[in-house]
Amino acid sequence: MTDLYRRLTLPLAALLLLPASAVWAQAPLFFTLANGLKGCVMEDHSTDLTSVHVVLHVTADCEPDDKAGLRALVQHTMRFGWELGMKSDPNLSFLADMDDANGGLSALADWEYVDFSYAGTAETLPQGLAFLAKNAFAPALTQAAFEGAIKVLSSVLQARSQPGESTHALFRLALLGSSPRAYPLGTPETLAHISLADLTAFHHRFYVPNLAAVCVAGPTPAAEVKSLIEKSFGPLAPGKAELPGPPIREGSDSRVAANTGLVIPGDTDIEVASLVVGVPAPAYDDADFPVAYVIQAVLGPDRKAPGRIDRADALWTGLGLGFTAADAHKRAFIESLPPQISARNYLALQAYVAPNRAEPVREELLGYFEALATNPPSAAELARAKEYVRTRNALAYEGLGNRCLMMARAVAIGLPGPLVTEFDSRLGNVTAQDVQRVARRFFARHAVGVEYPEVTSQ
Amino acid sequence: MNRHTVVTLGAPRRGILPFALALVVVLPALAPAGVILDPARIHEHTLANGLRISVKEEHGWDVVALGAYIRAGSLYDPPDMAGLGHFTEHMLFRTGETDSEPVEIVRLVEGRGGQINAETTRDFTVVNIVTAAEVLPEILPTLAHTLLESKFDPALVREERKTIGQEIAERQGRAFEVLTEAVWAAAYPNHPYGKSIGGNADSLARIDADSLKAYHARFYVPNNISLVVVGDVEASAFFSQVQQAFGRSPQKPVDWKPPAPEPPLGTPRTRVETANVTGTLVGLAFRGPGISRKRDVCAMDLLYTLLGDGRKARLETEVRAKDLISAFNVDFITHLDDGLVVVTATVAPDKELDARAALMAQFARIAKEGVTEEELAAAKRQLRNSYAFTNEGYSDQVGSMGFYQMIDSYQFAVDYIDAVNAVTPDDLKSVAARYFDPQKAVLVVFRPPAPHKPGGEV
Repeated sequence: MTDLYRRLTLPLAALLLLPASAVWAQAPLFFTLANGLKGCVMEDHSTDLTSVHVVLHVTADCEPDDKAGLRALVQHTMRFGWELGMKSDPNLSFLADMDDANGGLSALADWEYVDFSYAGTAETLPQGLAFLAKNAFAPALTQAAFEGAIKVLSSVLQARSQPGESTHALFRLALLGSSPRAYPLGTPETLAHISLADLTAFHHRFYVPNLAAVCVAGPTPAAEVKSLIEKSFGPLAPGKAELPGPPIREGSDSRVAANTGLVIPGDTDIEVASLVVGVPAPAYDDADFPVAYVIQAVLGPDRKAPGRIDRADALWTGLGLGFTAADAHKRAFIESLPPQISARNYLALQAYVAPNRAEPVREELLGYFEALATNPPSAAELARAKEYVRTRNALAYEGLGNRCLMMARAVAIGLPGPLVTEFDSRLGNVTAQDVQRVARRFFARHAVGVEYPEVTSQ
Repeated sequence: MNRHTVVTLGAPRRGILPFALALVVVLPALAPAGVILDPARIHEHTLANGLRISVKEEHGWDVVALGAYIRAGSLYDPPDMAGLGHFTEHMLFRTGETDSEPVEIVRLVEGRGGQINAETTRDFTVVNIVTAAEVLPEILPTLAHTLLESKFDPALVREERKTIGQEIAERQGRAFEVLTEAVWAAAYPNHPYGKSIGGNADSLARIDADSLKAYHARFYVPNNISLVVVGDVEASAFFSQVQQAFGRSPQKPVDWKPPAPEPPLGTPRTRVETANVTGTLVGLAFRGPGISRKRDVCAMDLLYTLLGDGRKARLETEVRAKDLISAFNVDFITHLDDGLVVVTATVAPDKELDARAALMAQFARIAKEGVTEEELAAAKRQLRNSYAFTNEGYSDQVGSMGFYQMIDSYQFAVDYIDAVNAVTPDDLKSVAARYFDPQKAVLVVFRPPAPHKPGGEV
């Protein structure tokens, strides 16, 4: 079950992925059951595996501020139940078999959704669907499993103290405020506020079929899969959940912390500050959403796809770490954090700098965002950026499980337009004026997270 | 933190290399398993200059994965220049690089949103590319140039030597990698498989621009290269594109004689040393069959599965669950020549001797008693499932086909399931008895520096 732990603790990984430019060999089958559950079946004969994703549109905003981490805790509590079942229930031996083969069950939660999935060989699809229908919507949430989940989640939180990751967390706090959106896994304090009764009530309220989509990819004929979904998920009763809107914050903010262990991996002799500076960006349901990806590509930094930041040698040598621009580039001392599929989207840059260079570098990086309002990308910059984004999105679909998650998420949270094709066409239509408009609309405020290698004040 | 992992030391990755692959055991209660690598979708072609091409058409998504495989792994390194093949792989990505521009192939692939990386193994070097399908034709001429017309500027060679030297130094800090290398070195004192893929400080110092040029001229020739592609390409059109890109390079004989087989081990080899480790590390190995003995290979894959893969594996239930070891891994990667079944385990210092005895006992038991039909069926099912997940994505399928193309033929990746299915309990017992001879065992132990008792003598 070690892989299951790993999968449970990677809730952010899938945020990087967007609907891609698929040319459907066989159009997916879409449908909605009477209880409101949406279905999507992609017949795929590239191998004989099947992938099932049940995605619930249960956002971080569903969690009370003082109980942030509820969704992550639900996932972990359920996981304990699964593991117990695999040990004791011979009917679930197929789960253990698939888990041993690097498939099996997984679960994740991010800002906009929670996801339960099963990956197995095609012949196990009926069992996998039946299991997910029961366990995503009516799991046994026991006290023992709950306590175990608290321990696991607490240890995960403790492990998230690496430079970069912790600076990113500071940045999210500065941008989003002390809300569950800033703490996707909660904090030790919020976890302490959650009881098993809270957990059960939260699950009962939000984990309902009318907030869910199930997507299946694999070689089983689509009509057959649809029947299996109807059989397993059709009897579930709908709920009455109403999703709250995301919290809105105004004004800029900075968060500063000290971290005496701040070092660059592989460069333990270099004393650095870690800096994340960013700006709000169009949300996933905003017409300008694709512009955020174009802006990321226009700026870089990616030496292999050089954007404006990549070409600014003085910025790289000005990090104060004693490296040439090329060497600083190779070491990725400045990195771009991609846009998020989120109602509170953002664009951000992360940099490792000499402590005395943090402030001027912050100003300079912020300037790249702000400059887009008056200095939009040239035609060549725009064309390169769009191609880059288009290919990156296509690659996100490599692998059956990735494709299935993309589609399930798109169906569940209502990504723009007829799913895949519209994002691509909207990307193609992005103009320099669109970039300018987004910069003026969103980049007036910014947020900063900084960690210094020793206690400091701002 | 370094994202620029264009060149990587070629330690085989379990997720990609078909270390052990598998077969269909149809559970009576389930529908028949399907096809993992459908031969009907695979097309092959050989150019007049000997370059081989294998294409598996998958038209569901606008993505293509390509592997350029060169028979130029550490097997082909001269005895006094361990690491020459790996060094050459590094230099592929330095040709044409400047301070302001990355190498053209990297810019062409990653600058447009794709991904490229490379690795060197014992038997081959591979350059992997994943990109949008429409980009691939534009990449091919540059790929041909990169592979066939690399330059070896002495200044860049000196610079790259430092980079590789740093890799070697960093590897010394990873105890399990050092242990595994020590096991291979003990098992193959004469054969190139016993040398580190990346070389060592001494061998690295002997490699210069001239030796790299000579190595490249010898092995990077069309008739020593195979291209494997899976994805949204039309095979005949792709063959024409490859002809245009690679067809002008002439065929050249590869003047290479296989090294003499390593003589059988007549007595056990044991090496115990003090190392900078917190727990005791144990590496236990037996020679295994090479690809020329396919039936033995399949049987060995099943044996390693029975012993070490999954929660029902014997080393899990009989050794780890009894707290004799705290963690372990079993690996058997099929090679051109005889390979090695390697168990690595973490052991409490005071249980070392008991753990060693317990591990040896499991190998002895399976060699003496063999396995039941039921155990074999379960192992086949497990191996088959693992194989399916090893081939989930397009790049995974390239990895399987290319791996076997380098040591035999891609066809074995297709036939593997059937081959494993043909293995009988008698085969297993026979193979175990031949290879798991205690007199031919290799044992390497790293003990922590603190005084301890290694447990009772056995």
